[in-house]
Amino acid sequence: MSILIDTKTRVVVQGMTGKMGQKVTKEMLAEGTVVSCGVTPGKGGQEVEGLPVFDSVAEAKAHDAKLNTSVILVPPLLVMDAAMEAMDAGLELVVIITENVPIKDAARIVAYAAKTDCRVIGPSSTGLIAPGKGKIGPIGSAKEKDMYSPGTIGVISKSGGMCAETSRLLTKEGLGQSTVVGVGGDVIAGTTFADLLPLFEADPETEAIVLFAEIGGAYEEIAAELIKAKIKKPVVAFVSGTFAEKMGKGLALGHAGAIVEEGFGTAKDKKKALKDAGVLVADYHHDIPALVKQALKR
Amino acid sequence: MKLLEYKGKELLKSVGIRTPPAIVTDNKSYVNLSYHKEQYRDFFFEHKEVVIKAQVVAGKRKKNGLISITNDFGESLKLIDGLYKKEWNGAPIDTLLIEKCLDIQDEYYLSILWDTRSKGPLILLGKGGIDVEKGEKPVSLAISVLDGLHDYQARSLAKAAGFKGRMMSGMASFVKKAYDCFLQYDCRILEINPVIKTPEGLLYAGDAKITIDDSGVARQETFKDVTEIEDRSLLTERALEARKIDYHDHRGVAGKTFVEFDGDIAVLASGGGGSLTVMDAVLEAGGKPANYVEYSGDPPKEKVRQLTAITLGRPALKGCLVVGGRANFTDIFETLSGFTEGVLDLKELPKYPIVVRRAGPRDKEAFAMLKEFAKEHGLDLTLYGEEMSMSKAAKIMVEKAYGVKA
Repeated sequence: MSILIDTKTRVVVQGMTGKMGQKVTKEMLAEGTVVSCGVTPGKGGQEVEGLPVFDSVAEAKAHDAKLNTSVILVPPLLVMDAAMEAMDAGLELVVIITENVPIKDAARIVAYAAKTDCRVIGPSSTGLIAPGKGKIGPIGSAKEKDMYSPGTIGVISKSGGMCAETSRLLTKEGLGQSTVVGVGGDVIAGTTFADLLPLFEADPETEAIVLFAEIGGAYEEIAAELIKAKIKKPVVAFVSGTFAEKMGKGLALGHAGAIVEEGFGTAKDKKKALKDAGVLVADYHHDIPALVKQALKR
Repeated sequence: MKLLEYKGKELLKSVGIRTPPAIVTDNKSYVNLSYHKEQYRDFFFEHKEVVIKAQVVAGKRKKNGLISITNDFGESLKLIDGLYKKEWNGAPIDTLLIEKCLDIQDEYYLSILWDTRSKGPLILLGKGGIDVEKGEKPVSLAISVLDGLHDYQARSLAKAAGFKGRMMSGMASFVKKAYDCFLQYDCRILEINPVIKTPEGLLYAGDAKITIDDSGVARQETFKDVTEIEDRSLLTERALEARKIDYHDHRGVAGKTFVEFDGDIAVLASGGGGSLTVMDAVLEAGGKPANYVEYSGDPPKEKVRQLTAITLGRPALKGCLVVGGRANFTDIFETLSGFTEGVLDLKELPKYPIVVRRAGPRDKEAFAMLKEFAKEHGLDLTLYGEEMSMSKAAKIMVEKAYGVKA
């Protein structure tokens, strides 16, 4: 088993005709994902990788009634409209890869998702991968040696690049991954640690969960509260950004959400909250596999 | 993007919030120009007492002598001249905001920001003034961004903050306007501290600290000509120089994030999450980073060359760490070629150790080139691919730089 992606997953690529859209479509097909079709308004009738492109998600849905997942690769200011369209068409999972989406738009998307019972991942998600089963978005490949490998560790990361780096460390130590999800480092994220932890907890194939966390916001604190109350599987975390907060308040380094404002969201507080909840917190990123092994008593 | 006070107040005014009568001067020789001088004289004698505020993005302006108050016309001219002669963080002061000094009966604090817990706007309202941090805790209200802020919610918030009767309605209306401003202009944070209540019971925005969401700037016509956007108090000359690399060339990002610190290990990092992870590792291993910078998005060679020259142009360095996670798009050969060119631009070739950890498109070619380059110029260069973890590479850098095992 894996979370969020399985044999029923059928993907529409919004922005399929763009440079990124074409590249990601090709990659997803190579990874074994069922990509059904694409949408680019005004380009209906074209083809990408032999797949049909439609003008709207509704038309895509008419073409494939089992369509349930969208991956969004359109320019930042067009993301809100694309996401609303996907949710109104009744899709269950919308993964927004685009970066630099205005916070206001992200907040509206997330609020609308709650109303329509849709799960939104991102903005600024690098996608997700269940190694050996498929992937959504540009996250990387399980075909590439030493990157992702099938296994029992669930990974949730605020950083896209560190999805691959974290999985590489795990793979090197023989710890494969059940599903790796890049949730993005934006201020308002559709899906956060606390949303995915219960899914990994319920997934019989996942034995332990690794979090790549970051300063800023309250998503780590919320996760800590949830872990304390409901998560029985071992959780290992790394909190990045200690450096940024040492160097000055209000300095945005790295991701948009990684900013310590008004003293909230410091790495120190996050590490403490996670430790208090029983999470094993790594001092160095490369210590993660050792802590996972320790937690699994291997 | 952080707005100067006068620009922030323009936004507030546009949604109907009262701001003190004011004039903005953006001319160095303002008081010597007869036309403006006349205008200013009229302004002064109409209001009799003025606050003169230097327009810089910085906190604690009063403590730094950037704000003065006077009821003497002659003195006010001297103060204006004095402020124009001042510098703030190496840059001249270009703009002054001169306002009527209001009669203050009470001061409050209002701020609106994006809350990660409710995933929507959060309004904070409280008694306040300059030292809001020491004051009572403000009351807060989370808003549904789809439904908006209803009048009754604004009234309840004002009541909870201690406003009664007519003031409750007055403050509710003030908060509603501020909320409109927050959404309309893609604000990230909108803070009005103080909100001034005059003896007549009127509410004014006494200050405006507004940060616009960088991702929303592109669709806001009103910010097209705004250039003074950063808190310079953290930026050194080298940092300002590095920022210029990105001004007129939008291919990839190179110098925009450059910040300098009191350390001796130069860092050229790639990737948002990766760069922070590496900086943490340098600190954790006992290293002192000389700077932070994150370059990514496949910047052209020339940008990396400039960035390298600026970063390594600093004296007394003990090491240089070039590090990044596996790149998807960034051409490693291109960027590392830029690095070697930047090194050659230096007055003196580095004698300190250089540690490189990179992976991605054309990395093998890049590594062969780097090896040759190091040999030719006698550099102490250690090269790692993806077999080495980023944070371990950082640790090795610290050990090499200080000649000890960390």
